[in-house]
Amino acid sequence: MLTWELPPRIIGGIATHVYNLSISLVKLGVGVHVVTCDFPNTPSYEVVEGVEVHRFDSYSIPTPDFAAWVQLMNLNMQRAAAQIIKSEGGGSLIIHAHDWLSAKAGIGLKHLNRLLLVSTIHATEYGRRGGVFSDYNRMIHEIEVWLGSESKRVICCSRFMAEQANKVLGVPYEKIRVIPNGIDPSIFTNLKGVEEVRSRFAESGERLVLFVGRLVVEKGVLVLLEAIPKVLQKVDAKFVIAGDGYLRGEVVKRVAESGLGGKVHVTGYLDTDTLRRLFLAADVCVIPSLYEPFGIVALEAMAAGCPVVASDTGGLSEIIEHEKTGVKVYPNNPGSLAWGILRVLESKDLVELLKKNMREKVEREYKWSTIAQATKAVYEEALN
Amino acid sequence: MAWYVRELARRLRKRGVEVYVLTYTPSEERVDADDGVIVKRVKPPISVTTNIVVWSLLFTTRLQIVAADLIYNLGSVDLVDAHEWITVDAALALKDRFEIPFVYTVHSLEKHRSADSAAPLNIAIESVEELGCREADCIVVNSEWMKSEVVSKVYGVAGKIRVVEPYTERWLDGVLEAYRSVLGR
Repeated sequence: MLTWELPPRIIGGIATHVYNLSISLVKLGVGVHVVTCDFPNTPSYEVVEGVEVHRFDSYSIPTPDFAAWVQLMNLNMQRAAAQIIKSEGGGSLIIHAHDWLSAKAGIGLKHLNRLLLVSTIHATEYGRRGGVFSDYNRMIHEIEVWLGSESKRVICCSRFMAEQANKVLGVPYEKIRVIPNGIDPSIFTNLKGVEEVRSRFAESGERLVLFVGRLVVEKGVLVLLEAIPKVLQKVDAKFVIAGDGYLRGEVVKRVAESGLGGKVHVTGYLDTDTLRRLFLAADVCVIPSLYEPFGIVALEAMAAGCPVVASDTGGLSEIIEHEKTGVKVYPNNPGSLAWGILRVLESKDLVELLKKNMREKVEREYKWSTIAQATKAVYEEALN
Repeated sequence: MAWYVRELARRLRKRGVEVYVLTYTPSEERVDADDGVIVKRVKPPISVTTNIVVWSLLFTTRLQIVAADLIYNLGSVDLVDAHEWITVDAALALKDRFEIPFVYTVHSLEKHRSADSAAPLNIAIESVEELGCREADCIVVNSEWMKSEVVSKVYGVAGKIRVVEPYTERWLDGVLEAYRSVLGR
């Protein structure tokens, strides 16, 4: 398994995905080596719940840009993985690369060792940017195309992403398998201090609305800011905007300019313990994304029993069944988003129905054991 | 470097050495024969890049793939002679996989090409040069001056540097001696 991030190094969603998938695969009898970047105060080799984790020097020497660093990092990733392949001495080995960030190493290892390559494409450059506009975008896009063409099987986390992989990257549907992201619902059980966390952000009598995500355009945080005054006209609530990103300064500025300072907390990155308690404490979790290949935040909220109001887009459209497991709203539409939030805050019956249905859906479709079983089947299919 | 490699490959071939040259092409990949030397022209996997470091590392991935196919077809090769930092990545991958000795021919250094520049691009290229020097089984340079430049840049590699002046009577013998030094014969 090749990944540029693995806990405690967490940059995006790939870290948690690879961590849980690897552990669950081991429980199914699949031997897993994860090759990943080094991180302060972590060992270069350790066994985590049966998963062999190998951390390599991720190339700290200054590089011109992120893309150059990625390729230099891949040079070392490939070298580290080559040693593991050598020590394994053959057998039914599969290289599983995650995103364009490990494409170079994965493709090199495939050919030099005559192994099978399976890739998971978590998102596309086309989708992240809304198109391919610059040489930089095109470069990453072409690496994604290359990874897709070299992979025996391409795993996508949603039907939306499968369609993108086909239409945008040219991956034939025959090679694509849709396996959603997973969640471990037990991470939300028996947590203490939920009320204490809630009281940090909201007064008693105030409703609590939670946004969790990177503060970038595609996550729709600016749409949320426009929706907030419409919600506050009808309900007394506090809003927590958790996460970081290049829009953070803009978000803070707009909150101040619109006089919402007393109602909106822009917290930046929150630690996992606090975040999990916030999912339990919040009355509603909003996901106003403009582009969302999957929507892991929706799963986390659902597993915690927090009703979700989400844009009807991408993977979110597949996770949420309107007024059964969440409330869908029009993307990039503050009025629709405000309507959705109020729909949840003002209807106890709907909330009870959503809580019951979404817990059942998580248990049925998104447990890591289910995801790992489907992934193992893809490996077996590729080998056969 | 193009003229150097072509002439060296031809002379090696005349001396009975089987030589395959893997190099760049911007168009479709093809195989040429040049005075008995097999030349495989390799196209980078992507058409657009924003800097030479990204370009080189993606090009060398394709280079290592073509080289690996060649090695699988031939059964084995004796060594890899990588010219300049731009091919170091491919040589390392082949060395790691097939345990083939790696000769690194250094024609120039980044500090000469981009004097007084310490931009991240230059530092990144220098780091690849250093990696190549450390991992190579033998380093070939074309002058005593270049040897001293390499030694001043990378500590502890002086013992594996061979000075071979090109286009002289001793050129081919010097290169073959470098090759034999890593082959042990």
